[in-house]
Amino acid sequence: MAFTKKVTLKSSDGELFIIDRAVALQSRTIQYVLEDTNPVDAIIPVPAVDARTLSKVLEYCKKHLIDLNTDFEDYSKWDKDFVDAEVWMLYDLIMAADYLHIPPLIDLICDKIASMFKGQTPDKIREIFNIDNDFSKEEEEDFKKKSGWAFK
Amino acid sequence: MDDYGSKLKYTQNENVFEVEEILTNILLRLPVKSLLICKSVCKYWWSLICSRSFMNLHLIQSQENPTYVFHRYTLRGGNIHLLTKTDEETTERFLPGCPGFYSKGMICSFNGLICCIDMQSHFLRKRIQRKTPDIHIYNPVIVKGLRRRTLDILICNPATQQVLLLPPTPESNYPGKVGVSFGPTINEYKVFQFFYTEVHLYECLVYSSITGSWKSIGTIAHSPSGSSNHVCINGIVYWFSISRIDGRLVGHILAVDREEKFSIIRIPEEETLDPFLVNLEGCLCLVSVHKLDQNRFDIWALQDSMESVWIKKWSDYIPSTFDIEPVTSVAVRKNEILFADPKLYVLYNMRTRSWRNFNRDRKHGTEELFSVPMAYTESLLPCKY
Repeated sequence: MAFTKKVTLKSSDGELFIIDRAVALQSRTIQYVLEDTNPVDAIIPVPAVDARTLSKVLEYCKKHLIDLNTDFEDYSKWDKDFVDAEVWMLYDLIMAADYLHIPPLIDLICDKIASMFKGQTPDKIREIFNIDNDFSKEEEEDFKKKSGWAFK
Repeated sequence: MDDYGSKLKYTQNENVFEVEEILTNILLRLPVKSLLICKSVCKYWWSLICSRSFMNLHLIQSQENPTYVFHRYTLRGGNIHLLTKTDEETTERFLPGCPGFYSKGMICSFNGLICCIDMQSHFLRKRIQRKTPDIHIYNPVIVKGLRRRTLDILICNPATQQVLLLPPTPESNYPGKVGVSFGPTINEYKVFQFFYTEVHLYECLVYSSITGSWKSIGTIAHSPSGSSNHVCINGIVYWFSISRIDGRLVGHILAVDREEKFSIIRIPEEETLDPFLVNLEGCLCLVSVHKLDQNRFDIWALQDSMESVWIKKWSDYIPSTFDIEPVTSVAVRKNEILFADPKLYVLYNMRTRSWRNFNRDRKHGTEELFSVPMAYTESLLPCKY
């Protein structure tokens, strides 16, 4: 049996994840840590990501490693289901993907969030993503006058 | 390396959208129409979307996926309906305050902006205004456009529906050809217009988006020929021009650079007097269609503008199955060439050497006349700075 190197990651809330080195290398942040310090059997702390989010991120990394040979269609269906999540989960995921620097995962979530903006009104976008409206009534009226056609 | 090292020292952000890098990454994936809505979500989004750097990034992204823009000639009056088309989808948008009636239409499309010229008279404007009184709601054009014998030159952004009427040029019996150069920065464009003064002498005026006004750059013995298009490559504008030398008509290219200096480039001797100028991968090319030789077309690439050295790059035949009339314009989008007559557009893929018909709009009859098509990329750029 081939020997596979393992890496241990530690989430912000202290949970340990023992994974194949190849899976971890999809994160450029971890790749950098491994290349630079080359720790043997060391635990790499991931202070920005909690266990729940980290396990989801690793699920993505494993899938994208193992299934490199599956055809494109299967892949995109899996990705689509993967990001079919609650808004708070997408928040956590994108922050984690950004921190761990996993470009394809960043792309996937950004695409998902962008698609949630399309065809919505500003009110609806604020509601879905919990954003405060800091415009005055007058300013809002002004937008409607200037680019009201876009709201139709 | 330090970048990643410092990343390990992480501070928790409360809101994803407060991280500029992530918000920018998300918003860049949206079309202009959605961005106009996102702008009014909150002040932070507003300032980000309106920033020069975001507009620039959005433009670069948009240039990866160019479409075509064209319009139909209509006798109904009303506004210009611009059609933009990607492979599957045709989007129709009208430009407020750009009457389509008797319009000379688009002459140039650059960075999401379109330059239209219009010879419309005061009388026609009044009539359109009476018939459709609400078309000038956003429109400074009609109010300012009460004058004759001068060309109205409009800079429009169809995606944001902004329209700018350039200040009038002097009245003239022969308002001549117009051309647009753009760059080096995204907020810079110049509009050149030629005026006949006497035999073999034309005055050239230039409008600059930076100064917002016209100035004369002197006279020149050449003027762009009547039906020719122009292209701008790396800030240099090229027109096709015809002169009479020893009783013989000779075609050549008139170029004006960023410093507003003119030069003449000779064209290959065997070429016809009505070639089309295109920008193929950043290189000036001449496309000529030989109707008498089974619609053969040749593409010549300019290798050296000082010495007028051209290389024949490509040659093929437009299939007779398309029944194309004499070609009136040629547009290029990446490695695809569009040949157009007023009734038919056909597309040629240079990679596969294959042809297909370009279905402009299924909803409408085939007898309609369409304008010259141009490659187009939507952008957030304002018409005026």
